[in-house]
Amino acid sequence: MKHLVLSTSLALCAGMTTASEPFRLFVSNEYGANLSVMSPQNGASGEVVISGRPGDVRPRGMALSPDGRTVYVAVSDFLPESEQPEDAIVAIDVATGEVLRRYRAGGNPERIAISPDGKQIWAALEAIAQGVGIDLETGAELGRFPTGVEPEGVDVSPDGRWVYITGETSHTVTVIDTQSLQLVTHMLVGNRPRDVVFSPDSTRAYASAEIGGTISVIDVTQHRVIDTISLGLDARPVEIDLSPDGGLLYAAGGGTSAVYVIDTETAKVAHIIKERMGRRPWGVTVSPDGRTVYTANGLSDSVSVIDTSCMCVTDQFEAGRGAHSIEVGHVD
Amino acid sequence: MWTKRLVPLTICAALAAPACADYTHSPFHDRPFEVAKLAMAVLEDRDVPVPAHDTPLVAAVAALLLVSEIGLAEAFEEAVGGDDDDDEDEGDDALDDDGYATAYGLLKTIKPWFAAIPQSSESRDLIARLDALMPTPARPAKLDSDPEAAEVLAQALVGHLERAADADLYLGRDLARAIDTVSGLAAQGCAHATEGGAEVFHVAALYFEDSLEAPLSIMAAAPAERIEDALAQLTTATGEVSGTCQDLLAGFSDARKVMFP
Repeated sequence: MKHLVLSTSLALCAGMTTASEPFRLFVSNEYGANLSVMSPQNGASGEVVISGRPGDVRPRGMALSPDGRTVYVAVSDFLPESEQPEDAIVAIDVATGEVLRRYRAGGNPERIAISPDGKQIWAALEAIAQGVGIDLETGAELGRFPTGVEPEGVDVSPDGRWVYITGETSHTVTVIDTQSLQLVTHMLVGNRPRDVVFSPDSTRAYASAEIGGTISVIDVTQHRVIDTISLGLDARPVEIDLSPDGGLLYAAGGGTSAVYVIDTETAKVAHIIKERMGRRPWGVTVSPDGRTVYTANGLSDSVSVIDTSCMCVTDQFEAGRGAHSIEVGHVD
Repeated sequence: MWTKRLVPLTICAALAAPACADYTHSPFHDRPFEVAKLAMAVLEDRDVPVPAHDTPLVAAVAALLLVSEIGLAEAFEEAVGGDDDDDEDEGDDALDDDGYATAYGLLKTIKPWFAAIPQSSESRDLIARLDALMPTPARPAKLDSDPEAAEVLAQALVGHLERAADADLYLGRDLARAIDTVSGLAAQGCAHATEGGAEVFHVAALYFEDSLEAPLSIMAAAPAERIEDALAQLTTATGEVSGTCQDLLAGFSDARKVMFP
């Protein structure tokens, strides 16, 4: 009962960014049971409390509504065998930090994605090897689908047709057809795929492989791996994000404390950003104008700010314990 | 020794491991039995001198003791109680205490093996963080809630070991090659079933569980089941094994065809 009370006490604390700024950074802090809310300009921060049980309740993957005004965060705990009230996807208003809604999602939701029409949310349920689709209006489940082992990364194609979900331990990507709500296939990709993203035109998808040190390039029309981009065996790519035009793929280098920048046209590594990077960058996101990249650094509890004109780290912001993922929300 | 005749059966599959040449050494493919046998001897508390002159071997043994099914990370996960595979018949408290003691003991045991590998400030920090997770021989009153807390650090340490030893320390990084290596072990076990084959089957079963079981269970479920059943029988078999061996080797062959047509 105590957990239930605490889980509903989500509140925005003092020190929030000014309302005149058009964007806010949201960082999920896995071990702090909270979100850091930051000014992209100077890192001035506030906090959204997810639970009063830091260290037990873990906010991880996040996603934005198409208009950028709502941020969704996957919340779970370390007790996958039992569903707790805090196993949920929480919708938060970017401008006010107010909790708008909670969607039940047992099975340890790890990462999530929103359909381009903003009507569906898809989650990888890590503990039970399933993907789930939820209608955002009604909260009803659209369907549950078997995935690879320990599903993690998830994305919905920009045309709304496909959901891809990575299987961390089985080295697979599972394909779900959102129209027929059918499981289409599983594909073998690199070792320990952590994340997947679609290109803006929905023809390609990219899956990171942490142990493989690779990015698998997938032809979405065939659901088939057509190329494998090597970042080196000592690379540890985890979360990935594309520039708005799809020309550059940014991969957070996790254990290598680096960010890898891949030119998607040439399928080559264009830059490796290491200097001044925080430790264990796990989450990565690109600003809407493509000029800035932010990483959530899990071992240094920080955010690194990368200027894409020099592909260099220009600033560091303090985050909470175990910074996991980061998103740029829209205020205006 | 027949184990010295073990050789990788194929080169890297182009799609599965385009960067397989990044490291000079591949101890898990070049001498899989030697690595596992040493690690198991360490686990059995035998007096095993660290072969400090052979850095790739030291790193491979340390990696196995960190992140494999018999390693520290798995033991810590059991200690926290987040392992779904826990035996329901056993008392949870006893199981968790055993997991903690095992993980703590492994951390102490592994340290001389780390010491034989050049360290960095990063690796020293990671070891210090493992020490902080397991500060005392007896289970602390409050243990970290994250079952994977040790694995996160252990995986990062394996990355350090790979760079320091110039060795690929993930058998399953190249799945096609891993199937060949494990099936090669299985074939050797079958060929020498009457002269210590069971030990080889134990090693093959460990590598199968570590690196192949999960991907095969999704992509080649029927062959995976045949392999798993056959290995379970062969690790305890005392009599005629030729039929089971046929099943085992056919399972590997089928799995490879399905995974890499």
